[in-house]
Parts: sequence; structure tokens; C-alpha cells
Amino acid sequence: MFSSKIFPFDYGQHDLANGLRLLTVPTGIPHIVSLQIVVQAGSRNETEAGKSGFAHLFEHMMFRGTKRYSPDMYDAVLKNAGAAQNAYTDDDLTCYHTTFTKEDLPGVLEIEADRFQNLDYPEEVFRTESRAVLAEYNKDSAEPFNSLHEKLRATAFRLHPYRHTTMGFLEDIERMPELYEYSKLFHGRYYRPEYTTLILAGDVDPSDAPRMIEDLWGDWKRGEFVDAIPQEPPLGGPLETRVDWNSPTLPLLNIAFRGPAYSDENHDAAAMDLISYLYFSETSALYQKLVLEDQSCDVFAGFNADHVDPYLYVVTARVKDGRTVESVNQRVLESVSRLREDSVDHSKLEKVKKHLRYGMAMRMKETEATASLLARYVALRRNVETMNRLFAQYEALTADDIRAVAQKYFRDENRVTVELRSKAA
Amino acid sequence: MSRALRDYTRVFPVGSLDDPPGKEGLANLTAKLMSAGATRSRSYKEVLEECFEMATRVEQQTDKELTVFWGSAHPDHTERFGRLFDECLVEPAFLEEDFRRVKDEQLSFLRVELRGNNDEELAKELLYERIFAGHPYRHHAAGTIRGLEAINREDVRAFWEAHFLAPRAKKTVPPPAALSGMRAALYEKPEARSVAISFGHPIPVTRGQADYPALLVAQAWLGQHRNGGRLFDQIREVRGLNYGDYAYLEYFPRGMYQFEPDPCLARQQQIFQVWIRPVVWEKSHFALRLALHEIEALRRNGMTEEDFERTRLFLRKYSKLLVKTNSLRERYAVDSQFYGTAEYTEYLETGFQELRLPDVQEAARKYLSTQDFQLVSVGPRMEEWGAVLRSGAATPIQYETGVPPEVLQEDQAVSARPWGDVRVEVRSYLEAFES
Repeated sequence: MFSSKIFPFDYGQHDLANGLRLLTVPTGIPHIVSLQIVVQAGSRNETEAGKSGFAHLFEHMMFRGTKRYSPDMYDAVLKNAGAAQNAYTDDDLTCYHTTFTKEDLPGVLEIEADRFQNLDYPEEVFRTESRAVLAEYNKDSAEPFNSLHEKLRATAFRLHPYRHTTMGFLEDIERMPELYEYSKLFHGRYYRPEYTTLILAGDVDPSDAPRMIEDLWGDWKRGEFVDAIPQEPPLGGPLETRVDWNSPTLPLLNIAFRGPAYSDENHDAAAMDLISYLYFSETSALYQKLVLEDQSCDVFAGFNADHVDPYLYVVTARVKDGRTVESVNQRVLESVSRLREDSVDHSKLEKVKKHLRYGMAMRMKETEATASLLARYVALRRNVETMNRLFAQYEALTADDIRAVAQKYFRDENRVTVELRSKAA
Repeated sequence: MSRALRDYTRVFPVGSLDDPPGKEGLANLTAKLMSAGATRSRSYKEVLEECFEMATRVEQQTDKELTVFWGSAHPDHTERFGRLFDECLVEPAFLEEDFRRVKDEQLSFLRVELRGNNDEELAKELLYERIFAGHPYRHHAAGTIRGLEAINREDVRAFWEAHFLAPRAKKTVPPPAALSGMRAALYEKPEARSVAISFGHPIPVTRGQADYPALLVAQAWLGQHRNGGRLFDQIREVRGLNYGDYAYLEYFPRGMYQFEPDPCLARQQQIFQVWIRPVVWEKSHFALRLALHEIEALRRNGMTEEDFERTRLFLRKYSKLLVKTNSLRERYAVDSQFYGTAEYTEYLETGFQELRLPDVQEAARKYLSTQDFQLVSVGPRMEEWGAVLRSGAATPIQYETGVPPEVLQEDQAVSARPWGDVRVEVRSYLEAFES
């Protein structure tokens, strides 16, 4: 059925003297190449008060050109390559991804090497782009899930930068145009080879790629900045809070628990993933009760999002009738009480493990999807093997392990509940 | 290399065109129940468990004219998934509890997700509703709230028997009524932080027709979805007015969540459409004027030979990325059959070979209008917004950021650009999709 390793490709890893890492992944799929440039700087790295949102701002600024390639020239190279290109920012990374046909690899590598080493933007351009960021916040503001999420983070964290979303606090975004000098400081800290990994996947030659990268990226200067991310003290929960929503909408509920950091060395995060599928997925008893049987919710899911530092296990529900919000909340809490004492049936556990392995195989069906998936793990551990180690953790987990992890994290003092309701209701 | 997945695709010439009057949403609801409901031999719980073990599911999409089901299976599960896929399509049970759940989901989709939580998609979909008023495309493929509420379980079973069991021929769809002047439908949403804008008009050109490649180059140069273009450069990059601005020749829903278009949204009638992502109220008229100004400039001046060559080359190569999996190739083949063209990338390759720069400007002149179009805006203070349109007054722009003098000079002309003949209608956004 499966080889022992979940990552099925023979990849290459090459470290440059300046700290840059190259991962080459020949996928065996012809013609297409996907380049993903992962910078291990996300909103987690925004440690200074009043300066949230800068990692995301750089996702924008990186398209603003260098002395050698203006934005128009940069865009011309991409257009000539017929490339699909974009970027995203999350808590632990900023990722720049470009997919194209293999004959354009040298040209794409050259413009990418240039912008990562020589970004150059005047203050006026910085101010203009910071307004596009505010417009991005505005366009997202009609979605109540975003507001719920903002409130959850602000309640669940006091010191750690996970307390704000990737967009940042609105008041900080509004002040951004005045912080040109700070932007250069932030950029100088993190846009450095030791924080950056290149993933080159698809129709690529692993013996040739390191030379190309050495030629173009070898002179990039290593930085000196070492990040110091504040540790979050215990929550002291349970905490409950509420968001009043201005438009008509259905009530939303987040019930979250402080969880573990991602790890491939200890099994806590792996166990939280299994718990998620056992107790909160579409095949769980709770989902079947709330969505299929009494149909009190039309959205219901639990999710353990991998993070570098300890984050949250979040259960999300959208409730059809405001009068049943409390009973949905009670049902979730009853399920949590049960899972702390439960001894999971062996066959159920095996089904979840199989689901995870098949799910991974299905996701790596083409080059860009494989490279995108790997980028997420690179943000966490900067290597490919962490995927194999995580799946080895899944395989080894027993019902006793899962109960022990559940008892450690699903505790009342770790719990935050946020409810969003329409004022119009 | 990992072992290749097996893909399943089944298409039916059934869509919201087939919804009976008063039961708008029936085609989509029926198809949804086929992919997300019990079969005669399995409860929906069992369907979910089966899918969970294989880490896959039966996907479904219903548009105006086509319904497609698709899914992929790991090589270990080809027979098992193939059986489930067939069961969903030929033995749906249409149980009462599934019917209630899926109908509620559709009502929530219209009321909460589309109307309440996503002003941009709301403006885009209302643009279609306005342009196709009184036409067989008049309602969203998910239906209307009144239509969905009127549907019962027997309607679903009868619709399935009539439309999904027997072979059916494609219906001919007439063009919508021509537009005259600027028709502005403004949807008041007092709590919105900015104004979402979409505008466009019908075009008589669809994939497979002679002028399509030329018009595709014009559209991609103006604004290629999430890949830049003239509108994006001028509105966002130079002036920082919003998050992005794009142009379309074909229906492209969910654009805020995805970079690439979904196949199987083929339609006999399409519109040219511009998506201006939300702009703060004070600058929103100017952003609209600037978009119209850029389209007019393309009509008047065309583009440079270099831009033409680059855009054509981009489309040639980019189209190959769109068919990157076997499943996508299968679904693109559905569209090629619908439009009567060769395989998508070959079709474009052939069409681009003959294309010359003057053809693009000629197509822009012939098919794009800045005088006769429908506009939809969703935002606060829409009465006042409409009054600005009616007055024809200039809408000068104030920047908090520095902008080059040549841009400020261009802005003077743009801010006073006449609207032409304007008709304004203001409604509450809460009326959307009711009937």
C-alpha cells in the first residue's frame, strides 16, 4: 500500500555557506516547475507593540522592484514565462510561489534572486502599498468568521504575537504609512538567507539545481538577528467573550483550548491531530449529532493547526437558531469530557491513520500542490524529513497515548469560548 | 513518483435553466443531494465514512447549463470509489433528513454567505442578475430564497427522474436584452467599510467564436485574474486605491478564494465584466471612472506590439498550467465539447497563431463598451453615492500618499470623465436573492 515514508519523492537538500537552504523535489511530472520561497517570518515575528502586520506588508512590498528590475520588468519576465505567481503570509511564514514551464527556470530564478537580495522601495511607494493593505483589511471585514477569529486570538494570548491575525490589528494597519524606517528594519532582520528556504519541485534536475542557486544566491549576506518570541503564560481560563455583529447572520461559536506546538520529536501535536479526526471530523459522533441528526449546526469542525509555538485547538460551529447556541456549547463540552476518559477503539484509530496517509498521497497529486504542502512543513522545521517523522508519530500512537494527551490539553483552565451574534437578531 | 490517481467525471446538460418557475434552485439542490446524501444502499453517514477511509469525496457543481460530478481515487480504491460514485448518481435516496439539511445549507449559502458575508461576490452575482433580468439565466444557480422554500422532497425526486435519468439535448439560450446607457443598481449596506463594485455588459463572443482569441488578449491585458494587468497597475499599484482589479470574458465565481477558474461553467451567453475590489467611499467614484478610462484608452489607442506579444505568450503558456491534472483535463474537455472547440490549449494555440495586434484593438472597439453597461455597487450611503452619479459632478481624489505629478495630471481628466446617460436605482442589500 504505502512505502514506510509518507513523502514519496527522492529529494535533494543543499545548504549554502550563507545559510540559505535548497530543497529539490523531482516529482516525475513533466514540463512544470514550482518554486516556493519560504521565509520563516510571519505574524509570529511581530513582537513590537504597534507594529503588527509587517510580515504581511512585505508580502506586498516584495513586488515593488529593485534597481535592476523595476516592477514592470519583473512582471514582463513572469508574463513571458506564463507563470502563475502569488504569495501568502501566515503566523509562521511568508511564502512566495511561482509555477511555470521548465524552460523558464533560469529567468525566474534570476528575478527572484534579485528581488530577495536587492529590494529597493522609496517611501512614497511604501505609503501607497500600505494603503492597499488597509483595503485588503476592508474587503475582508464583511466576513464574521474573521472577526470571531480576531477576538479569539486577542482573548487567548496576552504576550505572544499569535494574539493578532496575520493582517495585524486595524489600528496598526492604519498607522503603517508612517513607519517606513521600521519597515526597513523588519526587512533587514528576516529577509536573510538563514531564514529562507527554496523549494524547487517538478521537472528539475537535482544535480544541476545547487550550482544554479549558488551562482545566483551565493552572495546574499547572512544576517545577525536572532528572534526572541515572548513565551505565553498559562491562560487561567476558562475565559468567555462575545462579538456583536452589525449585520444579520447566524450565530458563530469558537470553543478553543491551548494546545501544543508542532513537534516531530514528541507526540503531542500528532495526538491532537488524531483527536481532531476522532472526535470532531465528519465521521465523529458529535458531527453526526449536530449536523446530520438534530441539524442544529450547518458548519461544524475542529482543527489543530500546526504552529511553531504553542497555539490553539479550535472547534468552530455555525448554529442555525440562536436559541440552541448554549445546547451546542454543552454538547461540545460533554464530548470534550468524554474524550478525556475515552479509550479509543483500535479499528477507529486505524481508520484515522489510514485517512491521514491516503489524504497525504491524494494531496501530492501534482507538482504545485506537492510544493505548497512541503512549504508548510518547511516553515515549521526547515526540512522534508519532518513529514516522515510526523507520520511515524501517527503510526506509533496508541489509545493510551491519545487519552494522556487529551487530559493534558483539553482542560477547563485552557479553554476560551467566543460567541458571535448579530445585533439584529 | 507517487502512483497516479484515477479520476471520475460525469457531466449532465442540466442546470438552473431547468428550474421550474417558483422552484428556483431545484437543479442545484437535486445535484447536491446526489453528492451529499444517502443512496439506496447506504445512509449518508455511511457515505461519509466510506469517503473518509479513502480520503476523497464526490464533488458537484451546478451552473446555468451544466451539472458536473467528479472525484479522484487512490489506486488502492478505484473499484470502491467507482462503486460509490455510480451509486450517488444512479441510486440517490433523497431521504427527508438529507433534504432538510441540504436545503438549509443552500438557504444559508444565499442569505448568510453570499448576501451577508461577502460584499464583493454579492456585487458580482447581482451584476449577472441585473443583466439577465427576464432571461433564462435570471437567477443564481443556487436559486432564490422563495424558490428554495417552495421546494419539497417530491419535487427533487421528480426533477431527478426527468433530468438526470434520460438523455437530454442542450437548449438554445438567446442573448439578453441590450443595455442602453449606464444602469446603476446600488445596494445599501450601511455597515460596510467600503464600496464593492462590479460592472459589465453582454458580449456576443464565447469560446470557439472567431473573435474570442483577440478579445481574450484584450481582457488579459486589462486585468488577468490575480495576475496583474493595466487596471491592477493603475488602480492599485500606482494609486493604492484597493486590493485588486480584474476583467473577465467568462463567469468566474469565488475569485477571492482561488487563482484559477473552475471548468464546467460553460455558458452560451457571457458578459464582459470588471471587478473593482472594495474602495473606500470617498475614492470609489474615482476608481470607477479610472477603470472606464482605461477601457476607453484600450479601445482608442490599442496596446503596444510588445504588450501584445507578451500577453499572447503569457496566455499560451499559462493555459497549459490550467490543465495540470488529469481531472482538470477531463473537465476542460467537457467545456471544449460544449463550445465545439479542439482541446483547450490547442484551441488557443491555433487561435493565437493567426492573431495580429490590430485584431485586438478592433475586438476591443467592437465588443467593449464604456457607455452602455450595468453597474452594481454594494456599500454604505448609496443614495448619496447615486446622487454623485446623477449629478455628473467631478470626483477629485485626495491622496494621503505621494503620487507622481503626471499621475495627478491624468487624475484631473479622469475625475471629470462624463458618465453619459445614467439611471440609478437604490435598494437594500437584504433584498438580494429573495425572489
